[in-house]
Amino acid sequence: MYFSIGFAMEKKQKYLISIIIVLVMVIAGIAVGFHYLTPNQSTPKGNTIIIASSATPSSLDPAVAFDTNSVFFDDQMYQSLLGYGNTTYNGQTVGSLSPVPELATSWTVNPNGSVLFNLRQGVTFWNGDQFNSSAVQFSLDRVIQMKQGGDFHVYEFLNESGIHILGKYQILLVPSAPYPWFLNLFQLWVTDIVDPSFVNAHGGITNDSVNTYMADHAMGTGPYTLNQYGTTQITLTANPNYWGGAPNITNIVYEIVPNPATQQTLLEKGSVNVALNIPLNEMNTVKNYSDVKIKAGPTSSEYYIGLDQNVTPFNNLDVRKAIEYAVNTTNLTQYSTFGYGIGIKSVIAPNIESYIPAFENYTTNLTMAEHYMKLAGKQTGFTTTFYYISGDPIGSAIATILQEELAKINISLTLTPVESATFDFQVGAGTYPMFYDGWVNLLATPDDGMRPLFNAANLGPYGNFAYFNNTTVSKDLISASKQLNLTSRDALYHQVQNILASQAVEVPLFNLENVIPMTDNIHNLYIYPTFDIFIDQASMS
Amino acid sequence: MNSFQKFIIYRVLTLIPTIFGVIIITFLLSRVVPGNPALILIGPEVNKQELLVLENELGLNKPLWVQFFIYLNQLAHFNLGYSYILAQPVNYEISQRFPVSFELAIASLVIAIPVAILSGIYAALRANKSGDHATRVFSLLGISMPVFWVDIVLILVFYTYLGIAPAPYGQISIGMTPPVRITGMYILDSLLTFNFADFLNTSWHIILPAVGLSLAGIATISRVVRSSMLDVLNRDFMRTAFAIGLPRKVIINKYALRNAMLPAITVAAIQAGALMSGVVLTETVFSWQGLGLYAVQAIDQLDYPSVMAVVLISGILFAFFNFVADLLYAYVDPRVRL
Repeated sequence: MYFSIGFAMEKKQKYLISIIIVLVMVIAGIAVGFHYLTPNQSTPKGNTIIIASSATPSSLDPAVAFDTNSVFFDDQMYQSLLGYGNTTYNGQTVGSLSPVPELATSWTVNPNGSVLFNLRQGVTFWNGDQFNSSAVQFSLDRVIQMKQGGDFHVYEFLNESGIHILGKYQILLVPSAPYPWFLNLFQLWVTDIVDPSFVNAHGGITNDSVNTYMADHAMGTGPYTLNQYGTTQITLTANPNYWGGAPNITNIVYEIVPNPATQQTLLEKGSVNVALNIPLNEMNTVKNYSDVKIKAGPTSSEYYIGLDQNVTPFNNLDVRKAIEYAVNTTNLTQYSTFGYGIGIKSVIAPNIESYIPAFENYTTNLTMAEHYMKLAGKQTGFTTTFYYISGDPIGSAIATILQEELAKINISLTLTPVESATFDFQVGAGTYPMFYDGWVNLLATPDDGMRPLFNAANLGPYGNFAYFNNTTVSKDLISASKQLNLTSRDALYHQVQNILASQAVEVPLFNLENVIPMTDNIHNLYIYPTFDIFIDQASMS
Repeated sequence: MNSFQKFIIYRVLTLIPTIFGVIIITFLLSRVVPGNPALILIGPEVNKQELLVLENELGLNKPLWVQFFIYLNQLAHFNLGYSYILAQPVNYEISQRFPVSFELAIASLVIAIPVAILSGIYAALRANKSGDHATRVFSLLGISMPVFWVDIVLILVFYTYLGIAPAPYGQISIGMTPPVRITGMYILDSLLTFNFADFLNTSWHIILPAVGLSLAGIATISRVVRSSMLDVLNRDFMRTAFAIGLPRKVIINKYALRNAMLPAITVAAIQAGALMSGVVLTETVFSWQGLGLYAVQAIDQLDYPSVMAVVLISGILFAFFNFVADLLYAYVDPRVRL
């Protein structure tokens, strides 16, 4: 464990010279190696798009995937019967929720809610297997049997007996219960079509269980094929047999870069083309990067201040109303979302069917706020705790502004940031009197936007974190979810929203835009309200 | 059986209850943390019936002692459980990620230990002179600066401004195919497969994170080496050695260093054990998909099996490195043996 340098002078000199020569050769070799063997890191290659994202996808299997990272891959490799259309927002083209043909070329919605799909012919999976109605039946059966991830939306309204093959390229799908948005289910990634032969050759289907092979393998009809799946990098390559024609962008490199600051640095240097997780409070800095642009579009999300009616004093309607009048939601939206929030006046986003600005009467009015505090017997105020997820710059900004605004009516807020998993658990347990939270309306329907949050059957951890229990609202929500007539449905949802407003069930704040910074050479990469991204639509210059 | 062999057996026997203690504490801590992994797994649209089924499937509504014995039984079969978040057995994820962290930790030790020893000796031999002061200031900075801050500064300087470091997204550049997997450590695998392009590229990628991770270790070990060298140099036997005319180099290298290394071995072993848990910040900043990052993601999603596996492995590694330190100590200093 010791070293000894007991050499004679001559030997020592020889050794020193030898060491120096070896070092010089090694350094020279490394330098040559770096020059010739290492790709240029400052600019991305040709038509390869490099995307930085913070997390590994949980599963590539569309029947299992539930997080946006996983759904990203499903969007590139798989397809469902229907896709999403486009619309214009602030002069830019963005994605819309309207269904467009994808693996189905046309469809007919019958009066009973069933849908007859005519399927696209001449489509193959990457391995050459034919796409047809059997593949559709297999894929949907699979979702129903496995009961994983986002499957809940499908097997609640479709069972195996509702899938009828009428021909090689014709299939009739019958809902198990009336559901006005039955057609829209077949836009979701959950209903992406997989190759039956491929799945059966690799584990098949097991009821109530995942297929582990499909977690990191894929076989779809989409514009991209899975090239390499690793823990730091996943690469997709253009499908040469894609029915829609070769996409402009040939390769997608998905780099897992957990740190948002690192993503920002990579984007600034041009080492990535798209960074998916830069926080909104950094967008003003990102805007000033040369060769970088920011694209934004509305989503189906709704962010709000929650008031737990299980906890005193929020079980008092007058207290809740006082807070509605005291909070300046315009200010909160403007300063906390860094310009990327769209103010809302209801419990669902404005782009959702049946939206009405039911909460618009709650304008900022300190006199009214004080009046209701007095009615509640709380004119001297009270102290409570406000919870939000730690590390969320929007939550932090809201907490600070809210503390100042409520101090005007003598409500003293103790601000408590909490780690996200603990937050989700405790808010469901009803231990948080006041909190900032959001709801991403995945199906972009009024049912998905309201039933989980306000139906009495969902009290507590099942989604109704406000512990709101109103018989009329619960009944209306159930009825509306089965009402196929739009006018009648609208009437029910309008009534629900008006009751929620009159009960001051929460303080609706904003719909948060989906904001994606990218390099200037990326074109036609559209932002979808459902957070989907379709690279085959995009091009690179 | 000589005293060293007896010592080894004794230490191995004491290692077993230590590891068992780690298992118990790991299990209890993971159950104390508030949260319901079934809720996280099932997603935001919670169906009551499905939640109950899932809780039953995960064993979450069984008594704690039953859950513990199920866990012990799994461990006995080397089964670390199943990550429902990643839809993969935990064993598989650990096998993919452990080599990544291990490689990074080894690289930082390869930098830290020689630099620390040399700087510690240098400082001791120039005690209270400018060289010593400079070394001590560097040590103070190394201990004080948070590793994530150091990492970010390194990226800023060497990648953003100077452009000589690779982009901080993982172990290998885009466009390079990873080496054929043998150990899972890219540098070693590329050497074993004679893939010199990959060897150069992965070596290039590891430099910055390894340097960032090594700074705190250099600072700590250097200080210990310095103070123990000074202590040894002031001993009577050293004065005697100088007095009888032994060459300075022989006195320093053969007598002083060997005695001064004893505390340094202990500190280096503790640093090595701590490294495996300390890599989490470096892995996050440099996007290395190692055990540390896996732990962060698992904790965030309340992925119990993954959290417990990582904590268990970190605890066992820490115990192992301390075991190695004890053996080295006993080898260097026979007085320590039974």
